[in-house]
Amino acid sequence: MKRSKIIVNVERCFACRTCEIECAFSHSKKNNFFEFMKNPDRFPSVKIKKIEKFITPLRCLHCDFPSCVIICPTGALEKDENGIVIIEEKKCIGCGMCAIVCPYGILNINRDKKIHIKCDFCIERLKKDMLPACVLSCPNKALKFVEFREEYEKIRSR
Amino acid sequence: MKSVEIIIDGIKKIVPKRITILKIAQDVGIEIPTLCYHSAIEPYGACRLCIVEIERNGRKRYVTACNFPVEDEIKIETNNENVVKIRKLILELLIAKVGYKGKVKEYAEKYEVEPRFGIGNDDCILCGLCVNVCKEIIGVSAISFSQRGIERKVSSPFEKEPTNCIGCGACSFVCPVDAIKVEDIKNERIIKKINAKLELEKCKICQKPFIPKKLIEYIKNKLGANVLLDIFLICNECKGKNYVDKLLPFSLTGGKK
Repeated sequence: MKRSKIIVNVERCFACRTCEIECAFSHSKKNNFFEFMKNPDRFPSVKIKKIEKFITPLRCLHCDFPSCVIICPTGALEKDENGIVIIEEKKCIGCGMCAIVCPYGILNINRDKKIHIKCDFCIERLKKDMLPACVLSCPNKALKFVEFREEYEKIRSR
Repeated sequence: MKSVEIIIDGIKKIVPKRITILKIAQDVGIEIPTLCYHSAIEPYGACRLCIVEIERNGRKRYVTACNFPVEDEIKIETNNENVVKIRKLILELLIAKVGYKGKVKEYAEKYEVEPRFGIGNDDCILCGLCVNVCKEIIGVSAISFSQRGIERKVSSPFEKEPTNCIGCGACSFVCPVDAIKVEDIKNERIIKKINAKLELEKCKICQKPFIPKKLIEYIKNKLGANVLLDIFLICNECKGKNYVDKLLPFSLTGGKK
């Protein structure tokens, strides 16, 4: 697998929140969509937020030097060889320090449900050669999945 | 490392020495119920729910899977009649102490346990997860077991305000029966169970109190000087707005501002 990034074209996002639902559903254990909607067992790790004038889907950016990985006292958060910051949920003790040091305020834990909400870059789907759930589901193609460096730099320099 | 051959529920497996039975079971995909086990914390063996039957040289014994290291060739039964019987008894006793709460309720439903000894109303099962997480992983030891026998309980030193509690809330997160509750009321974080009251720091932008001052100190000490320090002083809501320049993709502005 090559190293990739997800980029957002903010102009195209109209906050339909399809990515949120699809993200939660694709990580859920339930197979039936209607059953899932009645009683969701998973939180979305992508969130639509309004930032000044723009509305944009926010998710973990998988930083190059992630401070959450440095602070995690149990080593539950790790950066793997593909540059993805992954969480081993079993090891999480819920101290919430990752949420405090996250510079974008995206990482979060839910104390009531005892769950850590974190984007895993849809690693299971990528192994099956599928696009991440949020990218695939976006009806207006605001989210784009690009290979890191070459294509990414092209878009960046535009 | 030397390895030994064991039989677990009829499956032959070669495992390294001194690995615990619970870890072998997880590898094979056998589910063993646990209350006081957490993969980040040293096994403590307090709840006894992970009990399994081992057979060595024709002799049978019952041990807790979470902290029993495999030393020689043994036969393990994780789910036979006797084991289920013992587990049911343990669950009955737990229900007599705390009633149907959290994970105890889950397992009681799974094993179809009837409350033979009544339904209790305590809040804690004395599994020791909160104590161990505070000691081993956070490293502050703000809470501990006190008293002996039936009076044994989790508390802060002398049941006074724990001076070294940083208010991270890990004890509340790992608790299997939700005994510890963390509440943010006005400008104080209150953890009632352990008598902790922590002053909250205000967000620099929206002025809303959101994080204990001691927790900031703890994180600063741990990270040293290699991270932007003012990140801690901004709440999650405001962070996104503050870092808007970085968040905006370049496709929108075309690199111009």
